[in-house]
Amino acid sequence: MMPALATPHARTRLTEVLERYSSLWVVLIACAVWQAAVATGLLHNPAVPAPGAVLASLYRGMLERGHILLFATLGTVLRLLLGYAIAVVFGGALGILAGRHPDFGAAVNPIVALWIPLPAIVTIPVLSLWIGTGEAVIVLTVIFSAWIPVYLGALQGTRSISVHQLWVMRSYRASAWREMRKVILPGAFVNMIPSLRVGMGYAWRAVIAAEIIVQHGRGLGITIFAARQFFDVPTMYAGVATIALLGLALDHLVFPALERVTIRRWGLAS
Amino acid sequence: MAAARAGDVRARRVPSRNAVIGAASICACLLLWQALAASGAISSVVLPGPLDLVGQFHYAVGRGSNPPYQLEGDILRTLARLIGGFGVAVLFAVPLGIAAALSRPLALLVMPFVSVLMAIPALAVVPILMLVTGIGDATDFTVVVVTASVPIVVYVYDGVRMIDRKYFWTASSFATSRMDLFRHVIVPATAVPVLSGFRMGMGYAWRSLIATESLTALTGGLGYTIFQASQFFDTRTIYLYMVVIALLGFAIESAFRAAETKTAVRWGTLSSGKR
Repeated sequence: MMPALATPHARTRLTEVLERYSSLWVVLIACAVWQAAVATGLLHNPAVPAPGAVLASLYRGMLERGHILLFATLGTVLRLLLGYAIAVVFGGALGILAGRHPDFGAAVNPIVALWIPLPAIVTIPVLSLWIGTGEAVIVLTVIFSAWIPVYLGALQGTRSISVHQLWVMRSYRASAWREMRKVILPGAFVNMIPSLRVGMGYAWRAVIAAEIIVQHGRGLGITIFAARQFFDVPTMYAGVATIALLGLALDHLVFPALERVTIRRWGLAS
Repeated sequence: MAAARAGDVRARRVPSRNAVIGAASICACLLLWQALAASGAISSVVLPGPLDLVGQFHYAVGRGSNPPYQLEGDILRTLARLIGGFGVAVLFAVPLGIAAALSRPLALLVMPFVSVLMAIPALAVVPILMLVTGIGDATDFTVVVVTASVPIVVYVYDGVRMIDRKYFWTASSFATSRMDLFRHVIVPATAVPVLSGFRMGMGYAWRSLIATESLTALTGGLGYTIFQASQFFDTRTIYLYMVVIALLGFAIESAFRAAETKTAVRWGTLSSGKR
């Protein structure tokens, strides 16, 4: 069967596989080069450990040594999900309200416009005046960061619902609740998926930043900063690697899956 | 034409309903804030009113603050880091994005790293960066360059790749020179996505810079001072700096958005300029 490999078909499949996982290959090759550079002594810097050492630290942090990294990951994910969930409900509700009542939207929008470029972590000093430093500060920072894109998405989504759908509901004398459940919520939701994704990106940045600054409880940002105090450089890299993997998973696995499910459930808006 | 001009004049004289409601809403918020602060229901240490902040502003921009001219100094330092880093990012990321869009092997090499960098919040890398570049301007500058570059590369790459083939065909049927092709096809077709990339990059860099300053900058900056004030329970400075950061960020964002809309109108591709 050797000649089969040489057929154009086989070659295209091979390149297809290569290209499909190109990111993985490139990153793996880069790690190999990095490892070689450290092993041969070409790269000698205590701030840049070999990938092997980072991997070992990742393994120990996850499965040994009191599962430091594992608990840190859990803590970060819990804060992220809690804050994000509240932000989606709050931002979504406000956005739908603003979309349905233009005057309310006109009153809220200038405040939102001022809020957009405000880095979420700037609210930390103010929050700590009000409620001290603790878990709530981190979660609130996530909410403050993530609600904006969700709000904007819900506003656009609600505005882009076709009037005809609402007319149909009215001709059948559907109740306001039914109209909300059958037309407005699905319509707004399908149209706001991209902003839900942006909101998750904001929430993700905010949770790590807030953890690094607030230093409370267990979390990846906290672990990275704590490891720095002990000059445990491989653990710092292991923390960043975990963050990268989680971030990539959010970008490339969770949200594409959510999009597929939503489109199958409600169909495309157009 | 005359009708359009008349419309313009009317629009200038009579602000739209939305603008009136918006202005009223901001005024109401400020009044409510002032009333709440003045009522004494909440300690003025926890919630100084807007008028207190005006006083604090006069103090912070004056010679009497410690250090003198504190606010101007912090704004200048932060802007210097932001603009310097952003300039380097533009010089580096635009050619890289164009090259990656035109060369497949380069795209395969560069884009994986870009998507990994996309997934890592800048602040997570700051503790490591501080080991390499030290606590100071170098770290802030590096953070700005990297966080601004990533979205710019992505937007330039997508912008060049998404140019409609028909433009090239039309240009070549008129025997357009390569220079004209660049000037009259590639630049107009990519201007809007490139400017969106600039706006995104600036937004990310702005956020990351303020956060990074709080950890690294020994020589001041808005982010540094607001967190320093937090250590000393200097509430008025905290609120004042929050307002300054919000307004400055708003001004930067608005400038980029205006440039984007103007370009979109000029080259007739409004679709991404609205919102």
